[in-house]
Amino acid sequence: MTASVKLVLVQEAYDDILRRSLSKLSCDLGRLIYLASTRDYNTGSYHHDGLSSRFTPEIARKALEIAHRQVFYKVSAYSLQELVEEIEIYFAASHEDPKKVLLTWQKLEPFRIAVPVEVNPVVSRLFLSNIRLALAIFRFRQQSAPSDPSTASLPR
Amino acid sequence: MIDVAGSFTLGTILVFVLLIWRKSSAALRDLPMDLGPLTSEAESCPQEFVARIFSREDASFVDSTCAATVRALFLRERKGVALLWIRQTSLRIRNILREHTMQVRHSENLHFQSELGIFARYLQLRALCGLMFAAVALTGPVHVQKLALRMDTLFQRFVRIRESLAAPAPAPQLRGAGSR
Repeated sequence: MTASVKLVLVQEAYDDILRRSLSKLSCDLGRLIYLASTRDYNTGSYHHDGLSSRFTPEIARKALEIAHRQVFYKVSAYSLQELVEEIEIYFAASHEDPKKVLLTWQKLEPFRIAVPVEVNPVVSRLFLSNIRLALAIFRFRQQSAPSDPSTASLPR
Repeated sequence: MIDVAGSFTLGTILVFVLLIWRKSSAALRDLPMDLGPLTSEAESCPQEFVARIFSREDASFVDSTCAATVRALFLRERKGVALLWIRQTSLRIRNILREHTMQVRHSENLHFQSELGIFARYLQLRALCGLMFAAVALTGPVHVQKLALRMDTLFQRFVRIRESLAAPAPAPQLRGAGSR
């Protein structure tokens, strides 16, 4: 397979994952967590059954890696205000108690696994720091305005 | 002999320098010990992220909506990221000059003016890094956004100059080549 053919296939696979899976998620933070979850914890390589069967495991791996990096950089560039909104949407879409999810996120910091392998360490640190701050702001809002309609609308 | 005003000024400067030194030392202690990846030739931090690290927009958002504890957390977190960026930039500047020096040692056609220019830029950037480090450690990152963006621009220019000097010179044309 020539390099240019491979590149076209990776682009097709990338468009495919965007159309079939990522577009159905409600926010970029959700997309980021989803893409990170397609990565093997031990080897760091990506895998997606549907995409692998439509293309090849190698093409699928590359497309997922690119998509992961792109969404990661997009979320890392968000302002704090946008990130708090992303967290609100993500928690609401999880269909779990937002307070419980919030506590788990603050304690275990599961968002750490969302960082791709080959990224600038400063951007990686900015992302983690911003998520921590957004969680603190979200928590503060929940505590200070329990009757706030925006938090009241979240599923319990 | 130094008069009272002179002693007072000297004392104030000394206290100020000590304060900067203490704050900088404390900030250095807060930085992660493992700086391995920072020294590697990993991709540099894009400018939009530099702007975000030193963002006034985020600071205003936190100021307007949050409690003092969240504001303190914001300041601590952003300061950590800003200092890491300065440290990374500083290390990359040092590495670039080291590589350049090693390359120049084996070079036969040395341009004194170009070398002087690159060294002057190196000194300017290292001084800026020091100034930025002290300013961020002392006041936090929000007040120095313009300086940070300026430093990033200068750094990118430094990288480009170094790359242009490192690029292999075009092969010398043989006399008479191409003509019959």
